[in-house]
Amino acid sequence: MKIGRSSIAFLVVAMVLVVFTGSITAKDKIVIGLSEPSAGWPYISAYIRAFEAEAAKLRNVSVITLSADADIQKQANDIEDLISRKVDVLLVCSLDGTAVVPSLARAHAAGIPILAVSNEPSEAGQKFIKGYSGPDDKEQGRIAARIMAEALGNKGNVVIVEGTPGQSTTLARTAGFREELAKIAPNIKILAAQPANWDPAKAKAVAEAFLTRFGTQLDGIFSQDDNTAAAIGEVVRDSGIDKKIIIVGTGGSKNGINAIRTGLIYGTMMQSPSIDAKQGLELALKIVRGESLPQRRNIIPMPIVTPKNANEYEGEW
Amino acid sequence: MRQGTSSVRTGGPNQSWYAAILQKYSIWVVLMLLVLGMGLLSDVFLTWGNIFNVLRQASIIGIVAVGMTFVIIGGGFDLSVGAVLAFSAIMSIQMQPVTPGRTALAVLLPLLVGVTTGTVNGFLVGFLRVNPFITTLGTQFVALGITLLYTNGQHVWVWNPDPVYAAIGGGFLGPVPIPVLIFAGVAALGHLVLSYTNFGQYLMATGANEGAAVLSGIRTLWIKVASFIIVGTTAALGGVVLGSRVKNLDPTAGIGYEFEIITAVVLGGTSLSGGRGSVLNTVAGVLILTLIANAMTLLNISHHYQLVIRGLILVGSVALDASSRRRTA
Repeated sequence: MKIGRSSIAFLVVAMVLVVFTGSITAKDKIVIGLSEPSAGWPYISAYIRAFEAEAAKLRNVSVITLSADADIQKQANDIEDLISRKVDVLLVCSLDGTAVVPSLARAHAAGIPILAVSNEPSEAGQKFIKGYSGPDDKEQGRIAARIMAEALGNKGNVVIVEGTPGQSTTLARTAGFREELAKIAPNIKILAAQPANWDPAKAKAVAEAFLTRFGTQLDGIFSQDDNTAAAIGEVVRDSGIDKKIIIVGTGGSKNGINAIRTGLIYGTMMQSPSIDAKQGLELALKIVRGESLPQRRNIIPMPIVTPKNANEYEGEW
Repeated sequence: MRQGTSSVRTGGPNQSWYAAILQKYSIWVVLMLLVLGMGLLSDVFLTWGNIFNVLRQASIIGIVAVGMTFVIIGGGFDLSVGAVLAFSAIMSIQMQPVTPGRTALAVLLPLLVGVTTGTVNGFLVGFLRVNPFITTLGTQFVALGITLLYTNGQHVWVWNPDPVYAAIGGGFLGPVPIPVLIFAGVAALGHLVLSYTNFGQYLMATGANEGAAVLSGIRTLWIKVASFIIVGTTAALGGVVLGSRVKNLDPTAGIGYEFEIITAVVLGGTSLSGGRGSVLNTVAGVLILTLIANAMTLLNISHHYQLVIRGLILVGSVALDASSRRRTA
């Protein structure tokens, strides 16, 4: 094989051009790094789509999205990659609020500003971030408590079906629910709390055991997401128990809204991935422009949905 | 050839037949002890309602564990069952089984997927001699990836399913839940095939000593492929039951089920090095795992203690089972 001198020269020129134009566009464009826990989670997947669609409307913004596929180690590697690609701002939705802290520290040390989104890092990570934008899990627990207290007339026995044990989302939703109930409805007793790992099949098993143990003593069930709440609604319906049990979920997903409309569950609160993504992008751009954030914690609105207003809402995910 | 499968052989002349049976099925004794213990701790544990709940909860894992018993006895291993189960469940729901015709699709297409992945795994392991651990880890990722592409990362559900479809996971025959009947049928069939057919004998021989099995004229490669097809099919069947049971699923559902399934099989005394195992003991293993989960919830034990207690019971059961085996050897 023979390569002529002219073609080598052409290649060199082409390469120089590529590098040159590449560096120009890199300076021109704002590059946002987005580290997400798993593109396989419906909320996150809807968030990513909304975020990329919003960013595509802006000509000078490009987004690098990495999914950790529910693996803590992979999220650490993803953030490492985004640091070495020198993104202008790093958005992190932590898979685990505590495990992510060392990665946040590294990005901070590399001089990359961080906005935590959708899932807040733990206390130790707060000093490395510019702020937070997204829903508030603890507040969701509190809202669930308010829905429950109102529906039960501030008295009765409830149980909690939790997410994955030890996860910050689970802990915060449980803590918020317990605190708020103790405050506004001290006559409501929490009989038990057991994990179902966000798995509707496991949630059914847990709910069946609760019904076996407590039977008609039970007045309410707080399940920490809509899908497990809807699955539990089926268990209660099929159990033939002659009593209205108030089931409250969180999320405002399509499945949750439908479950309220069909009477499987009583209530939930909205958490809109598109509002979450829009706000995250806006605040990220503020950070790049050197502007200060409206607040340190910028919580998206989370309106209550019950049979009274379920027809006004559509789930997004 | 049936090395280690029959404790009657090792029992000795002065050992009574019931002692031999007791040793062969010692894991059932462990199960009975747990049932009695829980009966004493909780007054609602031994109610029919709870017993059928536990059996129904055991059925999905149980169906797949029967298939897994075959593949492990044959000297293989299948990590892809959780992902195949999830894909089948999601595909089953995505068929939107709201009419009898769609229900047929929602059952048959996932089963076809199960047979296909089983065949692919079997050929890779059997003919290309790729390590089963790596092979099925690979197919696990592929299945997970296809699930995400198929669902676009979104939740799937069917809101008003056809009554036949709803019955697969939620129906009853008399007092007995349909999934329990499916589980019992699969286990009975599995037991018959493993214990009373040539295929069962060949599978044990292949797992125990493949070289010797080849020399005695067994086509071990095809035996292995068949064992992977069996586990693939049971994973898909488990997925169909799961789909019908919950009717709403995340694309990442089913991840981690493979560990529960493999734990149940090993708890049932099936040797991870192949050649020895029993479907009936796998059933006991599945029931023990499910029963522990049910007991923990009934007693409302906090998750941290649950892990410790679950671990202790598992280690204890295996130790008890192993020591009774050693006494016979």
